[in-house]
Amino acid sequence: MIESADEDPLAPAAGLWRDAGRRLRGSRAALLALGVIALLVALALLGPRLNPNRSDTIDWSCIAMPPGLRHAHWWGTDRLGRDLFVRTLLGTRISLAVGLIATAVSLVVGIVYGAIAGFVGGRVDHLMMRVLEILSGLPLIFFVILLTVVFGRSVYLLFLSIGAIGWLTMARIVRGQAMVIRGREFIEAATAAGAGPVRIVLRHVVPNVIGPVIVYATLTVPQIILFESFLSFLGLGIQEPQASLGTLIASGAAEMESAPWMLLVPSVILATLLISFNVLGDALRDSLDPGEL
Amino acid sequence: MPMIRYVLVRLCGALPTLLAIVTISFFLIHLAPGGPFDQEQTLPADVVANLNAAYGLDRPIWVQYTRYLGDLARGDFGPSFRYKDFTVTELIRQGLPVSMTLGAIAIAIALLAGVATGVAAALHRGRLLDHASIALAVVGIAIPSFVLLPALGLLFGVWLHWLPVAGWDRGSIKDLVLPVVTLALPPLAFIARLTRGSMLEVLQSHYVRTAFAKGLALRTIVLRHALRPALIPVASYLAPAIAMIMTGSLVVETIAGLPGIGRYLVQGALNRDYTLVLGMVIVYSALLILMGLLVDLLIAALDPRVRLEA
Amino acid sequence: MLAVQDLRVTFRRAGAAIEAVRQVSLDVEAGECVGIVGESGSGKTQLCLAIMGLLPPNAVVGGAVRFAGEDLLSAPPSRLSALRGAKLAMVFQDPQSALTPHLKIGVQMAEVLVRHRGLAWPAARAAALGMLGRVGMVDPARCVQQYPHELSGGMRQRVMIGMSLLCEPDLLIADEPTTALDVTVQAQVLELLGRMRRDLRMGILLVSHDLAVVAGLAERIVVMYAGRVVENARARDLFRSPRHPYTAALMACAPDLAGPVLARLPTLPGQPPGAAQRLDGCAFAPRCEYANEQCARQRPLLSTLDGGRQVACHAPLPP
Repeated sequence: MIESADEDPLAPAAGLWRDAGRRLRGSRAALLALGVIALLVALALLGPRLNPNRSDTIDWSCIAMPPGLRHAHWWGTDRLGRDLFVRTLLGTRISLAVGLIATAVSLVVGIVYGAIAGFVGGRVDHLMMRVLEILSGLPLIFFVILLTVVFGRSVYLLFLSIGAIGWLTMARIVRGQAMVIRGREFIEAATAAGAGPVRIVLRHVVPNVIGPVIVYATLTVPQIILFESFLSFLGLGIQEPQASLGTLIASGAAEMESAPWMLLVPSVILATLLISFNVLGDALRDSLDPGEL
Repeated sequence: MPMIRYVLVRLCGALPTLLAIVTISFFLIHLAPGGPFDQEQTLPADVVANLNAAYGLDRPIWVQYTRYLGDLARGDFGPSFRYKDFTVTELIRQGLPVSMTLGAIAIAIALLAGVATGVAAALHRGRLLDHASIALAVVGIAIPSFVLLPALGLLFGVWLHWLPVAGWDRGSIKDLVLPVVTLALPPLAFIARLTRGSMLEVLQSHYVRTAFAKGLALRTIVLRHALRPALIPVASYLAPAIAMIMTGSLVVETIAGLPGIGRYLVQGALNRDYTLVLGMVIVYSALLILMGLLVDLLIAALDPRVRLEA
Repeated sequence: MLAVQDLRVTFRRAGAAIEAVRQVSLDVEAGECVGIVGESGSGKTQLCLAIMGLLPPNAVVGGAVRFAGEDLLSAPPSRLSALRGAKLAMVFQDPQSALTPHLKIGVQMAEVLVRHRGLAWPAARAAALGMLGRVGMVDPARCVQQYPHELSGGMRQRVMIGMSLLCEPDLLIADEPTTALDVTVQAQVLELLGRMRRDLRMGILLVSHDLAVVAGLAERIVVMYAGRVVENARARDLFRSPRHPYTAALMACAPDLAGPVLARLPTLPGQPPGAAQRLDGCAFAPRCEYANEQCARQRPLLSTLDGGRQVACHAPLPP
């Protein structure tokens, strides 16, 4: 508390970031999670090339082969003799892609919506918040299912509908931050010191908004991956012959009595992915919010 | 009675929301390209026309809409397009008790076990039990139901032979164990984490210090003075928890083959059974709104400072 | 009855040790009222909590606290909870946050008697009702049915005091009991404390940052600065002639106080040192207008002057 007195009052975010960085480095769980995510991303991008098999090649000599290193199907094969190593990693790639793209969509929509509401304020803000309130009161997951019934199942619809859910909370966070910052003294001070609006936004607003946004985005990615695999599991998301982790788990669950690895391989990957993102997001949130221990 | 007034006002307030949900869902479904009979292998045009006429689909859309609303007011959700011998109302009447039972048991377990775990973790802060509860929270929150249920089925059903993997044998308790555990675990983990945090905060409050200064036993302090305020965040979380369990019920009922409304919704969505999906979405929305009201009443009961204001 | 010897309270926080109370000794005899005075942050509250055994787990306590001959610091938790509320009671600064918000006043009071006296709930409730009358609640029967937020600040503090007196304790520790209240209500609460003390013949440890608050009630006054006792004297002697410059400064800051007004020190400039700071000399030296070179180098020990009063100063003011 006392040591902050000698810091530049016009750059309140700098100390926070330094602190956050230190705390994050101190958190072994967060570093481990980050490492696991990096490993999974690398595997999803490069893994399929390391294995001689292709995702849709049927190996008639190896139907429902258990995992092992003696043969080329390291993680086993499914009922159709398709290689699970390649299929799972391609599924991971799709799940990650859906997660990242839909998060990006929800980020953009949420930031624009929230920033407009927060900075404009007044009646516009009131109206926009009412809309947000009504939307977040609706059971959106059921509406997405409704949409899949109406428009059929397509990947684009998936992006659209998932993104439509993700932006609500983001908009609320950004609006809150924008309103707080608008009233802050250091903005007035910077204006008084002759700083132009661009400079103020870049130097003072962005560093202050970006923290919560990053935290929330990190927590949104696993939610969206979860949602996508949920729909795919039910048969309402990604369709054959494409595979996502959800469809792989669904076919694994159907075969679990005779070929349990078909269930376990994609389940372990998905669970690891989700836990890692959640741990990283929680650690980021804790490190940016010194008040909450 | 201010409470009865509050409930009435809130219920009236919920009606427009519900109407909006019904309207949006109805028009979405009916404005969509293609009809419910498109998928079936190219029926002769006159058969399709007959079917459409039989279901009233040849009328102008606003006629269909007002008729649907009128039927809805009498509790009639229309015929199912796929379950040919049933109306949607019959399916709901059949499925709702199953889903409600499942959900009620799950939320009760999540609450009791979650709060107990959270309180125990807070009282043993920094020790093994605390760390175990944190690990449970991380895993329980992150692992989705559709991974958990097959995994539990594999372990307890296929490998250990303790419990049936799936099925519905006239509601035998054994059939319900795994689905209920799967539904309860994510909210349980979340409630444990919430309770731990709020309990730690309440234990540092001045009134708990006063309770200690009065020489009360730790049990009394925790149960009488600390628990109720610590439960307020848990109560606010109940609405999302119920939504979470409803979402989970789609998966759990589908995998375990339980004849609940969740499975009908998924089946309906896969078969493009318009009226069925429409009916289930309305039922789920109404349930969610009703639960939200119950949760608000619960919060007011927990904290005497909260006034019920509509 | 209460004997505190060389009490030290240290908090461990993020590797640093913060000394809140440094070697404090004081006694409270049966039926005596001792006032503790000092600025906020001088360690008064931590001293009270240490006596009660209510410090948070990251506090390290050294020295000795004896209550009726029994060492409280080494007493097991079960013994402490049997004493607290029965023989040893405490009233807190802010009655708003010190009462449990969701329990009715009647329950919060009665449970003390249920716990310590083994009364049944109806009997305990009746006794609580009687106590509320004794502490001057206008409508006790209504009050037991109310929640804390439905009462005014002064009424809440009356409830707190009544609650602490239910078992007729031998010692009441009152930590800033009037700080959160209006001036007129302050006087009523102090009057109530005095009356109950006469009725029950109990000792009181009355803590305040304001000399005027303790002036009317205390026979003996202990002045604390930066976690240490700097002066300890009978109230009459202290007000007649403060020997420590800090005491004199405090008195000058309370102009409505009967006693010599020192026009030289109308306000007290500067701030007390932080609890984490290491001090070689006198902690008050940087703010003391009489400080000499010895004061900055060497810490003055608490020494006994004539008349049984104690002062920790290299150059005490003349009597």
